[in-house]
Amino acid sequence: MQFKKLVGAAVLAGLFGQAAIMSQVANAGSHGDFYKGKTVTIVVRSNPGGGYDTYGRLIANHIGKHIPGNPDVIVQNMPGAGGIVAANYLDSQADQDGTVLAIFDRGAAFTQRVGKEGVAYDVSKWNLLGSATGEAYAYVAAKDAPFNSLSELKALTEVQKFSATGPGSDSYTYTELLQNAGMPVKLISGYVGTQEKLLAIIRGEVEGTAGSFGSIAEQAEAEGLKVIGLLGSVPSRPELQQLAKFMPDSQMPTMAVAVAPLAAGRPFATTPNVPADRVKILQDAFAAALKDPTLLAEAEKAGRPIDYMGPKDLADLYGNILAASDEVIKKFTETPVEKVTAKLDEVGKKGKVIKFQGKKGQVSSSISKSRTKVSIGGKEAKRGNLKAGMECAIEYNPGHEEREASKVDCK
Amino acid sequence: MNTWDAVWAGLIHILEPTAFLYMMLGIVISSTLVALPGIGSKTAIALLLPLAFTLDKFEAICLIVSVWAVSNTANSITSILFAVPGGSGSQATILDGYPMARNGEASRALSAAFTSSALGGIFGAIVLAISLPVLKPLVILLGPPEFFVLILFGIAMVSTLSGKNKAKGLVIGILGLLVSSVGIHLVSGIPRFTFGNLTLMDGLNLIPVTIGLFAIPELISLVASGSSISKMELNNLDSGRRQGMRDSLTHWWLVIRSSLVGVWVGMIPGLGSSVADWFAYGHARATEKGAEETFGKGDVRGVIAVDSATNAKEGGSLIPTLAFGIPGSSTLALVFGGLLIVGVKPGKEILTTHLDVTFSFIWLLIIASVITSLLCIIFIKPLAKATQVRPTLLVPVICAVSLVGAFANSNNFGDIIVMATFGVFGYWLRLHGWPRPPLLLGLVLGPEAERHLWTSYQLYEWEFVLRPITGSLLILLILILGWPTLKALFAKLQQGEQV
Repeated sequence: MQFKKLVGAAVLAGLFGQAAIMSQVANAGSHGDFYKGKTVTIVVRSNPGGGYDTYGRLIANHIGKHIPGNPDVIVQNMPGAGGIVAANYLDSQADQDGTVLAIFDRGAAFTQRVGKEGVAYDVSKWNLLGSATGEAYAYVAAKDAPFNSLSELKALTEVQKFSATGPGSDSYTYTELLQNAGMPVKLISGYVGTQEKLLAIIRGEVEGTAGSFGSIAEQAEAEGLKVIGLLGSVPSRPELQQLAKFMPDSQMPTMAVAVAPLAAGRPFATTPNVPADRVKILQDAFAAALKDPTLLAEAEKAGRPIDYMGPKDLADLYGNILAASDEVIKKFTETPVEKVTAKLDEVGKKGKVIKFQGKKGQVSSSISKSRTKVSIGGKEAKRGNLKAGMECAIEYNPGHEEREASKVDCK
Repeated sequence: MNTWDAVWAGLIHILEPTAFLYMMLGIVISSTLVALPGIGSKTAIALLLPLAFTLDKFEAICLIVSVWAVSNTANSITSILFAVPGGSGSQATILDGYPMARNGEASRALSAAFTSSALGGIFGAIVLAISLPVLKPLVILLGPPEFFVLILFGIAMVSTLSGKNKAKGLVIGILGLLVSSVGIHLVSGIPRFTFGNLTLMDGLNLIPVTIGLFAIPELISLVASGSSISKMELNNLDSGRRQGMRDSLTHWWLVIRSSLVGVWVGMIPGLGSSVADWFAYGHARATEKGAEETFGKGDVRGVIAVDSATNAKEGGSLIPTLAFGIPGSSTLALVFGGLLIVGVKPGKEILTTHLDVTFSFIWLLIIASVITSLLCIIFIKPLAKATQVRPTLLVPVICAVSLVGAFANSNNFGDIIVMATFGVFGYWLRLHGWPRPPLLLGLVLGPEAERHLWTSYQLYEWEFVLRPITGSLLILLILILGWPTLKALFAKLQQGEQV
């Protein structure tokens, strides 16, 4: 029967495959031609398609030529948990002999510093190879939005809605930075991908969004949307305002930590504990591959910029992130707070809303029964007891739609 | 460029010998890969991209677009033969396709699936071509509040998918919704039911769960019964093949309606690609005559509805891509990433000065779909014979296919554990007569419903239900759900008056 033959062939093929793998393991040679006859694996932190995969495959197609012994190079996609799965694999599960490389998440050091659930790696132990290019983020606004630049956005008092994916994603973190810079922005989360974020603007649900410059700017402008500012440099667009200019000094350390990963947008590394001479071979090969004219031509055709950053700069960058103080890191995990001391101009709806003079004019702030701590004369009180005319120290969230207060402490 | 000139130019470009050859290459590679569970067209495109550097414009278009356009045809094979889903778009094919294979009608089921797949592809392409002038308003008509209510319609299908025991169906459907909440919550970033486990952080993957729920219980019962998948002799291979093709043509109205469902799901960014097959199946089950009795037991109409919808969806998903130059799905983003290599960008250019490119896409959707279906139909006989192989030979093969399928989905060992867990659960459900489809429905629609609900709330608070389209749809939904109760109430009132 035909099918029997098929099954037999499949079993045989499996056995041969197994034998081939075992013979490769047995062939580990001396240092000089270590890579001869070997297969180098590049682990990609996401599924096929998209930026990480494209850069991973570009390097895979060209780095073999530049490693003595000319090993075969294959790509292995290892998506999951925003890059944590691939990072954990690189850290402790992969062979530590210099045959496993990875293009890992650019936020890996930051994720480690924040102590996200599931992180079981230490970036500082990895042998870094460098980054293939930097990235910049662009802020985009609707055609008829009441602002044309970051400075005009900052001057507004009315809250503007920005579409974003969800907490933990780059676009969310970088949109939150607008709030850190004191801009009246409310994040609307739940949009997946550049397309949904832009369509939300086109449909008129939100006024703006943020996305990596390469994937969002051209499409947005083709649809008549406005690019209002940048995070990170784009040499071809010097006229666009940089968000850094609007950051108060107190927020600069936070901003520096948040933006650092953008400078090394497509980082590569090999595992810990690889002999130093092999690490050197890989680092040199990585640098040489990124100067290879065929790679550069392919990258240009695919619309993928190349801007090499060496392993030392990359290590410094991650060193700074890992050394960031707790105070700086806290700002990413807490909701932004604006503190003022003012007289209550008005108390409405039995204490559900208060109005007072904020830094930019009168603010109307909601008081939650469970979340807002209300105290009068040092004693805990109910919101119904608040009266117009009281002198209060108020802490509220300027990014919240109703600017919900977290604390109202009145005399 | 004049529209009619563009129509012809698009056709002539892809009929040039080398371009046509690359289309055939794309078809063969795509069909072979997507026939394997867990491997989709994305992997195929990513593997072929390096080749695009060496090709000229229309050769690259033929290669890459055909890989994408035909990716929903061959993935029905394992769904029908072994109840192992070939891809996320062929889950619902199992519901009637596999029972047909059990009844000795594998050949008919495959033939109907391939034929309706081709018809769906053609239909999707035609709708795309007709809607070119009015693309934009179509896409921006609906927002998150409307998506939310539309998905509620989908969730209401639990009752139609439950079979006789609605209460059991409801329980399983709710369980599906609950299971769908595992993972990092997209809107708040909070991990739910993950227990610090990395596999669970991304939520439960559809493919391992489906393999567990449907294929594993079948494997167990194959081993236990010792008989082949098909309970009958297969003396109907040729007639079954002809019958399957005839089925698709005689049910042309069902094909058109299901294709419309597919185009519509594809056109609306935000509904997710794996809901098209469920919407089409639910629609067929609710509207076809006698469906209540025969669906789920091997009714060819169940197969026809699903396969025409999944293929028509691809034409639909090009609509937002062309209208706004923003790829409508991650697969399309990859397609256009590849086409960038030969200088083709999504957006205004290919709708105006390079309209022939757009029409070459449309022609490819039509021609490649038809060729793929014909190729698949040629292989029906040897494929269908697999349902007669005795279980001692077949079970190890299906086992391997299931394991590879669950693993290849994201190269993650945890997915195999997910598959095994749902395998045991699926077997228990089957043993005690609980319906399994509502669980998948909950798993597919749960996350979509939740994120659109929260996005709507963030945008408009509860006032979102007052938006005109949202409100009307909600009232319609309530009327549909409440109709049986209302009818009974009216009847009672009338009786009361008479007495």
